[in-house]
Amino acid sequence: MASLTYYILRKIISRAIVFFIILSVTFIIPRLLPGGAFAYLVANPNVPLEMRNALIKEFGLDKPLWVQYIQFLKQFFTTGNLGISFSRLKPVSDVIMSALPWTIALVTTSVVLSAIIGILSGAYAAYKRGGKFDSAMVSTIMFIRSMPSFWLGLVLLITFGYYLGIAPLYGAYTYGATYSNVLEFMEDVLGHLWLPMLTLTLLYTTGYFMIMRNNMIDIMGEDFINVAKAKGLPDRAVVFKHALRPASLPVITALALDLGWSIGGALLIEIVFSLPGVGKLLYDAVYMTDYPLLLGIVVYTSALTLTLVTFAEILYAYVDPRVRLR
Amino acid sequence: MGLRLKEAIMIALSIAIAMSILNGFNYVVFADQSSNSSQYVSIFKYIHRESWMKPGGTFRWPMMGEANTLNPFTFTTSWEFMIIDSVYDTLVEVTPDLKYAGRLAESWSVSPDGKVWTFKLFPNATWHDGKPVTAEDVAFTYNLMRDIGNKTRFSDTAVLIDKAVAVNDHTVKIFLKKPYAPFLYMMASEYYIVPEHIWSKINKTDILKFKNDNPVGSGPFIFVEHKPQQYYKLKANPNYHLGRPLIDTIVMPIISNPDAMLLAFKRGEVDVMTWTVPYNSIPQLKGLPNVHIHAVTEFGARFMYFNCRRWPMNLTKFRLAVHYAINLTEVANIIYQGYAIPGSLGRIPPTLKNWYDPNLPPKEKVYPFNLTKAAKLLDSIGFVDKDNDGWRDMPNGTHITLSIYAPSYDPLRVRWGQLIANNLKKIGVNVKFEPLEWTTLVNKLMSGDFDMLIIGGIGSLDPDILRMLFHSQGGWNLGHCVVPGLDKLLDEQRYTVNFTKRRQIVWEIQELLAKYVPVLNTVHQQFVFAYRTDNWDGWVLSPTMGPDNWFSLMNLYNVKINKPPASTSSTTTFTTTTSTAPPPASSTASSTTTQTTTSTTAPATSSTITSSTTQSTSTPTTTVGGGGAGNTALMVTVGVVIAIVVIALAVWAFKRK
Repeated sequence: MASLTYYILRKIISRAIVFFIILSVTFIIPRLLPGGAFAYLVANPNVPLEMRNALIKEFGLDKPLWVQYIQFLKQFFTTGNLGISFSRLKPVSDVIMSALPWTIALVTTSVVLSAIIGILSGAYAAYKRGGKFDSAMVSTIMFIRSMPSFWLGLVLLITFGYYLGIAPLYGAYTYGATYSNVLEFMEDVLGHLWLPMLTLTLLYTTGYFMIMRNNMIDIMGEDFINVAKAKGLPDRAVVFKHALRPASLPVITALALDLGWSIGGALLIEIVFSLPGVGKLLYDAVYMTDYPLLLGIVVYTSALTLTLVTFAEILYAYVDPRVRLR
Repeated sequence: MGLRLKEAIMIALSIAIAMSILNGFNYVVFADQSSNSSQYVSIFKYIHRESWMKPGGTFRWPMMGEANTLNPFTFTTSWEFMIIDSVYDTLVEVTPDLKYAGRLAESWSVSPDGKVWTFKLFPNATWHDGKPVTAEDVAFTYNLMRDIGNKTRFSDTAVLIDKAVAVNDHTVKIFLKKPYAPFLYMMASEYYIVPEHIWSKINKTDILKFKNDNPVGSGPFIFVEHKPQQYYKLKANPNYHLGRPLIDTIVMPIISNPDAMLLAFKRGEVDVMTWTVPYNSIPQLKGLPNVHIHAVTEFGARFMYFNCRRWPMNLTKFRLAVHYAINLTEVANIIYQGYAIPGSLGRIPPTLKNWYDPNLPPKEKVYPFNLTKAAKLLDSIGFVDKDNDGWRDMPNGTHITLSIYAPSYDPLRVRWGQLIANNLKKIGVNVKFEPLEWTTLVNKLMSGDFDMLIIGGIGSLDPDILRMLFHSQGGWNLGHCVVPGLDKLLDEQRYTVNFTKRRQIVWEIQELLAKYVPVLNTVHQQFVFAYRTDNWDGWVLSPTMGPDNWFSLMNLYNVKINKPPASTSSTTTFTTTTSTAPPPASSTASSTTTQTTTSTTAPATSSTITSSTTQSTSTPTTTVGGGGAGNTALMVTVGVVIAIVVIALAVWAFKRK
C-alpha cells in the first residue's frame, strides 16, 4: 500500500504546482492585455481621465507588475482572500457565491444529465453498431456538435420563446414576482430553466455519446468479452456487466473535467438566455477588465477541476492496478 | 483535448462579444439653450395630471447589464443612470423643449459676473428616510465635489467650485472660481444632491469604492431591492415634492441578450426598448399594434481623425483632398439607409439649432465628391508619384503608406472607411485600411500611432464639447491638429454667460472648422428606440431624450386601470428647437430622405440616450446571436432545412445498411 500512498502524494504535489501556475498565469495575462485596466472607461466622455487614473491608483494598478504579484500572493496565501472586484466593489468570493447557485442549478445538472444519457445511449449504439439507432444517433450528434452553442440557444429561444411562446425569453424566474411557498418558486425556476438546460444537455450529450460509443466498440473486441460470450452469457449481460464498466472509465475523466468547468458557467448560453450565472460574471469581468473577479472565477473553477481530476485518478488507481506502475 | 479548445473559443468569443457591446461613444447630453435664468420654466408645466388618473401598475424597464455602482458621483453606464436618476434629484432638470425647470430648486438667480448662483429649494422636499431636504444638503454635496471631485465623473467641472454656503434652510449660494457658461447644464442638472446625514459618515478617500447599495435620495422613486444579475426594483415615492408618479412599481429585469430584449418587447413583456433597435428590425416593429418607433440624431458624429503630427495629414490641403474623395450623401443614404444626416463641416449637427451655424454650407456643396479635384490638391502639396510605380511618394521620394483604422465591431463605419480607402487608392494614394478590435483601436488613438482613425460619438448639446475636441489642449483632440485662432475662441465661449454673444463665438468656431477641416465628420447617425402603449401611456417625447426619460416616468399612467376620456390625446410631444428639421442649406437627396424617414417613423421625434450613458450606438452590430432577431425567420428556415438534410442522410444511411 506504500506505493499507493506515494502515488497519491505525488499526484497532490503535482496538482498543487499546476494550481500555482494557473494562479500566476491568470494573474499576469489579463494585466498584459492591450488597453490596460479600466480600458472600457477610456472611450466614455462622461468619465474623465482623472477618474480612470484615480481608479487605477485606488486599486494599486499603478505599481509594477511584480509588486502587485507579490502583494497578491501574500494576501492569497495568508488570508485566502481574492480581493475586491473592481467593477462590483464587493469581495470577489461574495460576488461569485451569489451567482454560483444558478450556475450549479443549470450547468451542473445539465452535465450530470447528459453524462447519464450519453453513457447509456452511447453503449446501446455501440452494442447495435451500424444499426438504425446508431446511424440516426451519430448523424444527429454530429449535427448538434457542429453548431455553435449560442446559435443553437438562440434558435431554440426564438422558436420556443417567441414563436411558440412556451418558454420565457429571459431570466431565471419571473422577476419581481412574489411566491407563497418554495414549491411555487421551484416551479417558476424550472419553467424558466428548462430551455437553457435542454440546450446544454443536447450540447454536452454529444461528447459523452461519442466517447462512450467509441470506447465500447474497442472494448467489445477485447478477449475477455469473447470469453464472456463463450461462457454463454446473454448479450445484455455481456454488454452492461462486462463491457460497460471498463468502457466508462474515460467518460469519468471527461465528467470530472466538465463538472469542474461547470461552475465556471456556460458563458454563451447564460448570455443568450439572460441568466444570472458565473458565465455571465466571467463575461462582465473580461469586458470590464475586472482582474480580481476574473482570477477568482478561474481559481474556483481550476481548484474544483483539479480536485475532481485528482480524485478520479486516485479512484482509477484503486480500480485499475496498472495505473500505479506508470 | 477538444474541451480546452472549447474553452479557448468561449473566451475568444466572449471578448469578441464584449467588444461588440462596447460600442462606446454616443454620449449625448442635454441642451443648454442659454444660461440665462429667463430660460426658467415651471416643472409643473411638464407634469400632466387629470382627475381620472389613478396610480398603480408595474412598469417593466429592461436593463442589459448589472448596475455596478449606485454612487451618483462615480457611475459610468446608462443602466446605473436609470436607477440613480430615478432615486436622486438634481437641482435643475433640462426640459423636453430645452429649457431649464427646477427639480429640487424652486427658483434661482445668477450674479451679474456669473460667479454666484443662488438656489431656492422646494420647501416640502424630503429624503426617502423622512428627513427634510435642506440647503445644508446641497451645500454639502457641492463642497464634497470640490474636495474629492477630482476622483469622480465630475472632475472637469468640480474644479470650478469655490464654495457652497447654506444661507437659510431653503436657500443655498454656490460660488464659482470663474464664470462658467454651461453651469446649469453641466453642473446643476448633473450633480445629484445627496443627504448630508448619510454621506458625511462616508470616508472621503473611499469615494471610488463606495458602492451605495441602498441609495437614499429625494427622487420620485424609492429603491426597493436588487438581486445580482437578475433585477432591480423601485417603488413610487408617495411624498415626492413634485407629486407622486402614477407608476406604482418599476421592475428592471436584466436581459443580457439584445435580441431577447427585442423579442420580449415585441411580445409585450417589457414596455420600452432601452437598447437601440437595429435598422433591419424596424420594418417588423412598424407593423405591430401599440408599438411606436423613435429616431434621434446623435449630437456628435461618426468621424475620422487626421493625425496632424504626421505628414501629409498636417496639411489642410491633404485633409481637404480626403473630403473631396468621399460622397457623404451616399454614405448617409446607402450605408446608413437614410438613418443619418451627412456630416456637418462645423461638427455640430444641423438639428441642434441653438448652436448650429445656419450660414455654414453642407460639405457636398463646398467640397463635393470629386476625385480629380482631390488629385489636383495632392499634386499641389508635392504628394506625387516620383518613381512611376503607381503610388504617390513623399516630396523627398520615399514611399509612403497611409493607414486608416476603423472599429471592427461596427460594419457601417467599416464600410465607409473602406470606401475612403478605395477612393484614395484610385488617385494614387497607397492606403492600408484595417478594421481593429476595440481596445487596440483605442490604444492606437491614445498613443497617436495612426494616420487616419475612424471613431464615433463625442457629442453634447452644449458646444463646450468643441473645446474638448479641437482645442490644442483638449482631451479629445487626439489628432493634435492646431487651427490658428481657434483656441482663443474656444476658451472665450466657455466663459461667456450671455447666450447671444456665446452663440456668435460658436458660429465663428464652426466657420474656422469648415475652413481647416481638422477631422472628417462623416455622418450624424440616427438611433432608433421603441416603446409600447398597451400598458402605459402618457409618454413624453422630445427630440433630445429617449422615450424612457424622467418626464415620461413622471407622466406615465396605466391604461389597464385608467380609462381616459375618449378625446384625450395621450402622448405629449415636444418638437421645439432640435426637431427633425432638415439641414438648412443641404438640398441633397439625403436630407430629404432623412427628414421623411423621421417624420413617418414616429408621431413625434425623440429618443436619445440621456446624459451619462454608455449606451450602444452602433446599429446592426452582430450581437450574441450573430443573426439578430430581425433574421429569426431566416434562421429558423435555415435550421429546418439543415435538419431535413440530416434526416435524409440518416434515412439514406439506414437504407444502405
